[in-house]
Formats: sequence, C-alpha cells, structure tokens
Amino acid sequence: MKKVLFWTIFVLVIVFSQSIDPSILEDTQLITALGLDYVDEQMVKGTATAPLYPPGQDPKPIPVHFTATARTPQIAVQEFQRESQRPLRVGRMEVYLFSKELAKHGIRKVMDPAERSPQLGRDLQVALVDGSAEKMLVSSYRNGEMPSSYIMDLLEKNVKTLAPSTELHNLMNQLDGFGQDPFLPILEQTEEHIRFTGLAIFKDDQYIDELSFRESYLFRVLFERSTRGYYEVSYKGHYVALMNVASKPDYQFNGPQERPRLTIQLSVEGRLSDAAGLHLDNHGEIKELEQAWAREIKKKTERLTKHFQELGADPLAIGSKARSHYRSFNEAKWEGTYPTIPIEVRVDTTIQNTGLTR
Amino acid sequence: MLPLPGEDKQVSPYLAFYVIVTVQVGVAILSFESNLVKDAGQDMWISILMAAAATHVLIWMTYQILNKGENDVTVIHRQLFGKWIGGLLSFLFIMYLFMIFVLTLRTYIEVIQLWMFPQIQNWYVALIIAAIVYLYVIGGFRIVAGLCVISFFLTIPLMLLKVFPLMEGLITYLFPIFDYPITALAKAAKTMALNYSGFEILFFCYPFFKQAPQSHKWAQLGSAASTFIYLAAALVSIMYFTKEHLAEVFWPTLTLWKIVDLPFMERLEYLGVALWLFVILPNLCLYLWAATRGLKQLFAIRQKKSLVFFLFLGVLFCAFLREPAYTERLLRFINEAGLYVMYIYIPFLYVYQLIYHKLRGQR
Repeated sequence: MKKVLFWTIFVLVIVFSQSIDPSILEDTQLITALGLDYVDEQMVKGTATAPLYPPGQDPKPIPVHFTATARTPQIAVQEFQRESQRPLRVGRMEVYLFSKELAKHGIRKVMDPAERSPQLGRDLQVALVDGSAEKMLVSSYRNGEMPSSYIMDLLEKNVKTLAPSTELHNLMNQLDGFGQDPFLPILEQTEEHIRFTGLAIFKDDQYIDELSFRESYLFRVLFERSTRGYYEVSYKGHYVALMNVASKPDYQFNGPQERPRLTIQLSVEGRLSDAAGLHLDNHGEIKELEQAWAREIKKKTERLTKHFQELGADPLAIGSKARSHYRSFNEAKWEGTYPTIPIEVRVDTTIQNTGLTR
Repeated sequence: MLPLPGEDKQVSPYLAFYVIVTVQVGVAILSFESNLVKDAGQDMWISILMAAAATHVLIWMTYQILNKGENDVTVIHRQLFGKWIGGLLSFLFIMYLFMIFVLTLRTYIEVIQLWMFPQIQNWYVALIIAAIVYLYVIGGFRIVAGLCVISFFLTIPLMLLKVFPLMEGLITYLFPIFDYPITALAKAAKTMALNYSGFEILFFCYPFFKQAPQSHKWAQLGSAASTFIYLAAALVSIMYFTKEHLAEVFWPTLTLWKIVDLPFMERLEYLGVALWLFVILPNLCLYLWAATRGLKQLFAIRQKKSLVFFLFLGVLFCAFLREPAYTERLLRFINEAGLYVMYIYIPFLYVYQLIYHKLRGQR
C-alpha cells in the first residue's frame, strides 16, 4: 500500500511539474539561411529565410523572409519573431552569409553566436556575399529553389571541388588556431543565378583581399589533396586543358627555426582533355607538355604564396605546420618571420593518358 | 568479522572488467580534453599513459590489500585501526563516494540543460534519474554488474562515431611529440588521474566476486580498456581541433559528434546525449550501491533505507547546486579529495597493512 502510494505521488509529481515547452515540428518555422549586412560599427542587418510549408499533400514550400536590424544576430532572430506566423527555430540552419562590407570590419563578433549555440551543426556552410546578403536571400532564381537550398547545394557540392571546404568548424579552427588565417568563398548574384567568384582571404578575422576563381583552384591544390578540376596551360601557341586526377602537396621545412626555408612538393597527376591542334604521339612530346604544365603551376603558385606573405595572411596554415615541425617553437616571433621565409614550390607532373585519341 | 555475501549474491570474476570500465569512463570523458590541452597541448596522450600506469599500480595495491584482508574495506579498517578510527575512515570513504555520485549526476544534468532542455529544473531530472537508480540498486550487486555489461555494449557504437571527425582531422597537429616539458606533462597527468578514479569501488565489491583474487586481472584489463577509450578520444580531438580552439570548447566530445551527418539524422549529438544516460546510470548505481553497502557493514542499516535516504539527499543537493560556481567549488574539493584517497591513502593502507601483518606474524 505504502509502495503504491509512493509511486503514485512520484508519477503525479513528474507529470504535473514538468517545465519543458514542447516544440512540435509542424508548428515551427525553421530558419534555413541567415544573411548579415553591415549597418554601422554596432548594428547588423539580419535577413533570414524560413520556408513555410502549407498543409496538404506534398506541399511546395513558400519562401518567407524576415529582415531586422539589431546589435547581434541572435537579437535579430528575436526581432524576426515579431512578424513570423510560427515560432522560429535555428536548428536546421544550413547557410550563414555575410556581406563583404561586414567582413572588412571583422567576423569574430558575428561568428560567436554560431559557435556558441548547441543548436547549430558544425557543418554549417559559411560564405561571403559580394553585395547585399539581404538581396541574395530574398531574390528568386531560375531553378525555382529556395535560395537557402540553392546556396547550400552550390557550396557543398560544387564549390567543394573548386576551393577548399569552409564549414563552421574549419572557420572556427582557423580563427582560434595559431599560424593560420581563414578563407571563405565569395558568392555573387547575377541576373538569375548565384555565382561563386573566388576566395576571400582574411587576416585574423578581417577581410583583406580576394582570389579569383582560377587562383582559388590553385590555392586548393596547394592547400589539400584534390582530385578534380581542370588546368589551362598554354603550350606552343595552343591552349591545352588538363584534368586533375590526383594532386598532393607536401610541406617540407629546412634550416634552423630562425631562418626556415619552405619547400612545397606538389605532385600532380593529370589527363589531357582538350588539346585541339596538337598531335601528341610520342613520349618526348608528352614529357615536354608535362614540363610546360609544371612550369605554369610553379609560376602561378609561387606568385600566390608570395602574395600571401606580402599581405601577412596565412591561409595555407604555414605557421601551424611550422609549429608542428620545429621543437620548442617560438610563437611570438613567427609573425615577423613569416613574410621573410623563402617559399619554393616544386611541381612534379605526370600525364596519365591523353584521353581516347592521340 | 562480518560474514561474506552468499554465493547466490556473487558474480563471476570477469565482470570486474565491465565494472571498472564503466566506473572509470563517466561523464568526464565528454570534456576532459579541454582541461588537458591547457597544460600538455598535443602531448596530452603521454599524460594519459602516465596516469594509466599509475592507476595500474594502484589497482595492484588495492588487490594486495583486499587479498590479505579477505573482505571489504570496512572490515579491513576495523581490523587495522580498531572500531572507532576504522569506522570513521570507512564513513569518510562512504561520504566521498556519495559526493562523487552527486557530482556525476549534477554534471549530466548540466549537459541535458545545455544541449536539450534549457528550461528544465535540476531537481526534476535528478528525481527521474534517482528513481531509475533506485530500481537498479535495490536489485543488488548482480543487477548493477549486469547493467555495467549492457552499458559497455550500448556505448560501443558511440565510440565508432569517432571515425567521422578522424576523417577530417590533420595528423600534423600531433607533432612535435614530446615538445612539452616533463613537469607540464606531469601536471596534466595529475588532472587526468582523476578521470581514472572510481576503481575505489573495488574496496566494496571485492567480496562479491567468486574467487575474488581472480578478478584482479580483469580489473587491470578493465582499466586498460578505459585507457584505450580515453586515448582514442584524446587523439581524435587533437587532430580535429587546433590546440587553441580545443582549449575554448567546453564539451569537445559532444562537439565532435556535431560533425556526424547521417542521411536519416541531421544532428547526432542529441542521440549521444540521450544514450549517455546508459554510461552515467551504472556509474551512479555503483557509487550508491557501494555507499549503502558500506553503511550496512558499518551500522547494520538496511540497504533499502539508506538508499532512499541517499537518493533524497542527492536530489536535494542537485536542486540546490544551481550556480556553476558552487558546482565548480565542489568539483575542485572532490578532485582534491580524490587525489588524496588514490595517491596517498591507498599506498598508506597498503604499507600499514604490510607492517601490521609482519608484526603480528612475529608475535
């Protein structure tokens, strides 16, 4: 009897004093993309896409946008709440955009809520907008998709092959970590599409320069192993396109810690895919083309590394790699050393085959 | 001399393996990396190995003490120090175990509040978990040991999730090896040693193993398995985060799970937090079982009564430990106490018992 009484009271207490407000998926509106524009030192203008699914079978989502100006992104979300039909939730956010103007003033402040929130995934896609983030999110595009899913697919599936991936996790690592600076893809709005235009280079958390689309690809080859993309090489007055089958960079430091020398050993395997006007039927000629290709990559990549050193930005994470190489590394001195180290790129190219024809 | 538990209450010696693994891998594994990285950076795995080696020695000592005493720690205390001092030592030991119980519960509640339900009150979660703990502990040591086995196998899938962040990790972050001075490594090892605490449970559950001395090798294996789990967690975290970022993150393991993106599940860490209850539960049960068992041995209080009392007290503690500052202070106190219990008290008991037996032998 006592037992029954005890458990009855227990169940009653548990049932009647719960304080969690339920959040039912059908009754919420999920923000899928957030764009931030610069207003002034203090304020940001936030724009959210929160598709609304009308009831019925197989409903097409209705694009709904909210715009508000606030001091922090989180407060902007609260402002959206004032006009939204259903409670807004950020758990499914996939895209986090901000304008170039805002990036010039530093992104640490606007990235903080994204990092802090347990509700957001670490694979949130972050990108820069050339122009207005608001306009990009509220426009409609040719493919009829929600802008958020369009940008998401573009970044996750397409840009990935052209530039290194830039998810929230990588960005936070680069912002906090020693000897590396962030880079982010830049998106631009054209008449009826969104286009990837290149990579933005940051120094600490501030935008300072950008790479063109072609340079971004070379940057990717320098940055990590890659298996896709095409190179354009001028050879004997013709333009030749070579497909990247596999490329792999290897960073080697030589010399003492005070005066390090860096050699980036780049091995690239390719396939000829576009060589109109050329007739490559002997080995000597292919060898020559390989060498021309290697010279081309070397020239362009060294120009890139030189440029980074002049900017004092380190998107290739050379500082972090140096720290892993040298024992008892002096982190304080590195900032002075970085612009002065000689960087040589050694390229080793192999043409696997010339396609179906000679 | 108190009687040993009957054979129908005992378990096979190999279950010591599961008991030790589950008691050592608790809520701390979700966050230990960010504490270690501040002192030992990428060399933290060396600190883990150092702490592990020390733990193996301590477990050996524990078994030496228990093999000689042939019963649990309350009996050994009484034999060595007499009724009053021995009783006091046992009582302090029981209180220590109870405080670990409270802290584990409080930390898990914190994870739930952070990740799932920010509005939920402490006492509410504590009450629910307390009810589950009651139902398990009331079944006796056999049931609790069985729960340890289930928990071990339930959490293996969670360990496999490490593969996802590993694929994105950079091996270069592990280098240079041995870059930190030995003093820094030792300091981190000291922090790490606390994560291995919990094997003190053996002092109470020893008589519950059939052919108890044979459970020694299983206990050692269990500790080795926890080392493996900690090592895997630490290595993945070092490779996945930069050092500076890792020091900023509160719950690195939970953050690691955020990267897992399965087609049918957008965010896996919620599943992880929920499944983690099965890691916490045997932990809580073991501590509380040991505490109530100790009280029974000391004062002949029925375990059921002291269990209800302890649970009530535990819920009350959790309800009032609302500010992180208090929890932190309690944590620091328990950590300090744990270090003394493990690294001063156990060796002391070992040496004292050696001398005691030698003198008695001469007489």
